[in-house]
Amino acid sequence: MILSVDAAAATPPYEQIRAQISRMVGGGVLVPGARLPTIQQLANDLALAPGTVARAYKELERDGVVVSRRRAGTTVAAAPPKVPAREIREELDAAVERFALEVRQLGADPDDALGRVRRLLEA
Amino acid sequence: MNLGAPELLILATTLIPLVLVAIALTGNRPRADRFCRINALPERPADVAVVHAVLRRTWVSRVAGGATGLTLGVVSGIKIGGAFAIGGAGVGLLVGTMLGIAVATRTPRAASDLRHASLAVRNPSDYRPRSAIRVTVGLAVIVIGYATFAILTAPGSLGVTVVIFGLAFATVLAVPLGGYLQRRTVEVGRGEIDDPGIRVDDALRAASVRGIHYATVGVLLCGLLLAGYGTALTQGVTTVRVGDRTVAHLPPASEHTTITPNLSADPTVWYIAWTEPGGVTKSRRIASTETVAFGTLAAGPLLAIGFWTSVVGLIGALVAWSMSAKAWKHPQRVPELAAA
Repeated sequence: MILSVDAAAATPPYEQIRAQISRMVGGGVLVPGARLPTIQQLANDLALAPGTVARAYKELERDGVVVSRRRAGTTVAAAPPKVPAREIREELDAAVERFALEVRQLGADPDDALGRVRRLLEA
Repeated sequence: MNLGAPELLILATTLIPLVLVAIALTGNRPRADRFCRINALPERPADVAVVHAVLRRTWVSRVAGGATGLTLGVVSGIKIGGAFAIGGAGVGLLVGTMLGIAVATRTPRAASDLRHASLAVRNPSDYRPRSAIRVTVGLAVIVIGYATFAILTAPGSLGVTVVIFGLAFATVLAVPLGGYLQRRTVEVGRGEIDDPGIRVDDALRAASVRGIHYATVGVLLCGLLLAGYGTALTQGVTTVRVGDRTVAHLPPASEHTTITPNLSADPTVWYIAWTEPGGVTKSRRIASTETVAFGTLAAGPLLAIGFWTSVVGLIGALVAWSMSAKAWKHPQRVPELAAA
């Protein structure tokens, strides 16, 4: 599972990490008990300060999404809060709308664009 | 200039070890194509270039670290006592090797503001040899257990003995250091690479982690070497010999032993002085027409055990160092890591 952070975006990096992990857990992509990378690993991979990732993990822990233990590291909580299906649908609609808009603006072939999306989803 | 047999022998015994050290330090030069073949990696030109650059950087760093550690170890060892130079050299060489390998692994600079990271956990245990923990912990327990036993059975002052074995105990610190360096190597940032690139990156990390592991094992074996030497030092008894006869035993670990003859006396009067481990200086007077000299007598079977422990430690440390240098020649243990 891939996490993306845009360092130039208005949303702070820790919030981007928090939101994405929260979404993956809520959607069931990350199952309860799944281990997350260490703060240092994620910070190094994303070229961020360890404090940024630590803050994201701390907020996720506060929200009950993950559990941090000294030896086991950070894992997805046994009963994390679920994202309501309606909320998932709304977010998906918004993402598809953004994608469709950009495809139209680029003048790209819709079949080609959809093919590329399918390949990415199946990768 | 004519060189006789003795001069040639001295020259050979001086040059051969130096040449061997130079060969050992500069040998095992890694080859990118062989590394890719061993790890069944796709030989894309870009990947081969990365492998070549990383392996070369690791080799240079390892040799530099090892050479620096070796020099520092020999100097420190000589300061403590001549024979400790071998243990010091080994510890210095292997700790330098560990640090050299770890320093060579670096996070690439972020190419853009948009960055990606996999949520797959990189765990050091997936990169090091399967038996790594068992071997490391087992050796650490042996070093601590052996040194403790030798301290408790050594005659003489506890203070002096503990100091001698303190160096052996200190080598156990290589275990947390090695663990930290392995974790650091695994956690170093990955940069923006595709799936085949991740396989290459994982194989390179595994080679470094293996190298650090074998160097850690080598430091522990140096601990065994030092503990064995310490045993021989504290279990041996200095004797006073008149001709072929032993007339006295000095307490174990006695220091500053001197024999001063008064040649004008008839028969010659020999003054023997020594400092006991507690710091008390004692002396004895022997009148004899024969030569009086010091000898060595083993106090018990522990002396032989100490000697052989040192030999095993020395050979083991050399083998571990060699394995550390050849770590790149072995395939990654869990090649499916990249698919995680």
